[in-house]
Amino acid sequence: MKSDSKIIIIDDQFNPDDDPTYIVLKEKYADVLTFVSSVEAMKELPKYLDDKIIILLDLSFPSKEPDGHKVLEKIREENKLIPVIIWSAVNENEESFSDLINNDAFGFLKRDVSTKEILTKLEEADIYLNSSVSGALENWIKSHPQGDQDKPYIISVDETELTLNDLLKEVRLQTKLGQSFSKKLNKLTIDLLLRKKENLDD
Amino acid sequence: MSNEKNNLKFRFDVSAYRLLGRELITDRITALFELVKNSYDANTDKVHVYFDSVNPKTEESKIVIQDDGLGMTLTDLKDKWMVIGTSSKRRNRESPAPYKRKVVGKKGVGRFAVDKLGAKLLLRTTKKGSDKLICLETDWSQYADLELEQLKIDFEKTKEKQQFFTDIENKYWFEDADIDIQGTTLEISKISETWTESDLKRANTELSKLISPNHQTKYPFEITIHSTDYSEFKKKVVESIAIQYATVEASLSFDFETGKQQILKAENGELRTIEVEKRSCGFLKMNIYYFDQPAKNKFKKVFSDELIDGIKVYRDGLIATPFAEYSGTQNEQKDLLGIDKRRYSYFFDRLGTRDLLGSIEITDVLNPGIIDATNRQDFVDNKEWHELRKYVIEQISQIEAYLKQTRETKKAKVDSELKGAGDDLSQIRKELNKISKSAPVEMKETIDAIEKQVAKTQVSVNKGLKTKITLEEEKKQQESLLFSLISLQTFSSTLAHITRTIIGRIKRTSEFFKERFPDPKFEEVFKKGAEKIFNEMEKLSGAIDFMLKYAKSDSKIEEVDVKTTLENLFGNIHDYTFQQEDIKYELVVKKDLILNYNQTAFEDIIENLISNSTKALMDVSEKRLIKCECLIENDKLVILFSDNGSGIKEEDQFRIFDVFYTTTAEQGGAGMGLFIIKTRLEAIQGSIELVESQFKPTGATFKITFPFKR
Repeated sequence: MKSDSKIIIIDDQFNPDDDPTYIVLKEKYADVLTFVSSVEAMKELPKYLDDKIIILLDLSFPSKEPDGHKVLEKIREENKLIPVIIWSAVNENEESFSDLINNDAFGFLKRDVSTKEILTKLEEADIYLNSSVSGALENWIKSHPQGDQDKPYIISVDETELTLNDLLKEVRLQTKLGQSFSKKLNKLTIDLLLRKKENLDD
Repeated sequence: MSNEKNNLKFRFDVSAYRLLGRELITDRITALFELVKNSYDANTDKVHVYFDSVNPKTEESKIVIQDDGLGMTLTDLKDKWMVIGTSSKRRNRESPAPYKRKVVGKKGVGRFAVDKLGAKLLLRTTKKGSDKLICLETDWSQYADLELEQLKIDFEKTKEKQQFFTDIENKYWFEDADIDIQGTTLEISKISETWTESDLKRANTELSKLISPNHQTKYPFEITIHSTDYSEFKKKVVESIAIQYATVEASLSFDFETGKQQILKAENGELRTIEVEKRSCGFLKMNIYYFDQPAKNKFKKVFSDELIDGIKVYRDGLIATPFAEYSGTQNEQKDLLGIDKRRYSYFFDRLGTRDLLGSIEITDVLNPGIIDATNRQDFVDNKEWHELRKYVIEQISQIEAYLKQTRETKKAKVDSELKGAGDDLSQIRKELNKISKSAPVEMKETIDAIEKQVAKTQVSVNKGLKTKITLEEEKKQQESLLFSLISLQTFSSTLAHITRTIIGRIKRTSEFFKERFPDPKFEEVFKKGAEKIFNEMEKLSGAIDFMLKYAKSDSKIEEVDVKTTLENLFGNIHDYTFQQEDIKYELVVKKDLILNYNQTAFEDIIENLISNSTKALMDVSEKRLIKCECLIENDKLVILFSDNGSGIKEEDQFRIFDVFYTTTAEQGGAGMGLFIIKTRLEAIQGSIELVESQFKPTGATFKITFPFKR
């Protein structure tokens, strides 16, 4: 079954024509986008933040461009939940990984791994996406007509009006509100499901 | 009451007196040393040792030890000076704050040393805040007499008028003193022996052990010897023995008025001090001492607990970052200045912290940019601190260069002497031959025998010379091989990155074949994939060839096709980097230009220059350009290698060829490249120099000269 997630590859060395991995990914995922420039990628990324995406990110870029560390940092300023997999040929003995871990890199792939290994890692990321609150919420919001998504939908305890999209943003950035909402939502879901008060449609 | 006299008694017995005064302190020099140690422990800044008319010994002869230390109160005198074995130093291993000196007089016997020097002692001492000076007179001859008496086994007599040391009375009285003055003066008269000039020399050597090699401490201890008998010691400040032992020493300062900073420069076998513009870290003072192995051994003998442990930073006279500097073991000490971090530190001519002792002096006012890190373990890692480190390393490399030059001069001298000896022998043979011809028959035999002997010696000398030359050449080859391995290390890191990327592509393409072949849908992909795998493999083989060539010894001289080589380096090997960094290059080289040189060495040189230029171009945002132009000048090939990068700062220009000098440490520069090039070129009578930039005002141009014929 084809996943509805999109794969974004940010890598100055990745050419879809050179690497059949591209073909394989195309078959399994809704779309595969590639950026050879990290500057370009950072400019374009906001467009895709509302989609379900998984990012494959290289670390070394030409010196004029921000490197993978910087790119991940920037992504995390916008979205704390997108799985970002580092895919790099760096010398592991010399590279520093602490900032990558702190910025929740989803995993690390060496440059010379097989397509299979890439697929396995991506699959993990995809499962994570679909089981996360943001993923579920996203799916649910998307099922509403476009107009409704921007209407005030919920009123928080401090009486701020939030649209569905606002709410999604809070969850993605894992703000206090977002965190507390996710927590409550999880609690409620478990409660409802286990008391068989509600049935899910699948 | 100032002249009213009272008495004090020593509180000890004869055995103790003998043990301490005689057995422990065996000679006059040690006695003097012990007394000066006391001054040191009393937080003295300056101590003066006067030898008044000590040669010949007369009634007027006097030795005076005068310090400006803490002095003593009457209670101190009674409870400490007059008592043995109760050394307060035993409990406190440090002298009072703020000096906190590590106490040196441990036994508490210094005062009993006095009688070694002379029979009579007048002690005068006063503390700050007291308007009285305490004077105490001791006549050691009384003790000596008594000792003699006690040792006579004449019990009958002694029982009646038994007198103990503790019964002998020492007169004391008070005199008026300035309330702000402190210190203790020991005036020793009735001196026991004559002091010759060599005695004073020995005293000087002994006392010098008390002087710290770092005179940059906040509370320095200074000893001055004054002699009325010898002009050399008329007024001699005792210098640290460490300095006397050092193989090379240098002291650098600055001129605040003109804004000039002194630095070292090794030139023509001399280590000179030259002036340059102030560096961004502010004015610096530096003392640096280098110890070779014999000097180190001597040092260790004298200073059992002091180490040759590198260069320390002093701020306003106090050691900065004390927590980092004072570590129990030398191995745990932090190398803040990065002296040992200079990789391959113990190869060849590198000096490490264990060869060096010294201080670098900074002040809050002159060096505001050097800031202690909050943990006091380090300095804040900023531009100024980098500049300071650079300064230190720069001076060390100059000393290294100087040592190398000295060694070479020495070697050249030995070589020429050896050769001279060979020539002399040949001359002797000729003379002998001449004599032999005109000599009578009976002498002829002897002369011929001598001639044969000389001939044999001549052969040995020549053989020796040849062996020496071969050994040196071998050593040079080994060094050069090692150097090329070192650059290979840096190079291989880059290569590994590229290789891994290439292998990944090949692996996944072939994986696609394995999983999907055959599939008419992917016919085109398969075809392209196979081609791709082939091409990537070609690249890998090329990379391996290059690596292997690198590792090969570079002693072979071959025909180097300059054009092809340059095109390969620029067009193939570095194509990846150039494309990635958007660097354009221009090659101006004639066809069929053949150079008799080693292929690898030539590539190595160009390789290093390309790598330097690439680094220099990082700071330039557009139109990055490298130009390599080959000209023929008489019997020389001249290559002008230029880039329009950030250029080389005026202050850096004269040291860029020094080993480990680098301005690109952040980009992985080890300061090897230009040094290697220079060494290699000089080996073949070529040269490299920095000339006016072809892209001025920015950029840099190097002029490399190769002789065509060798």
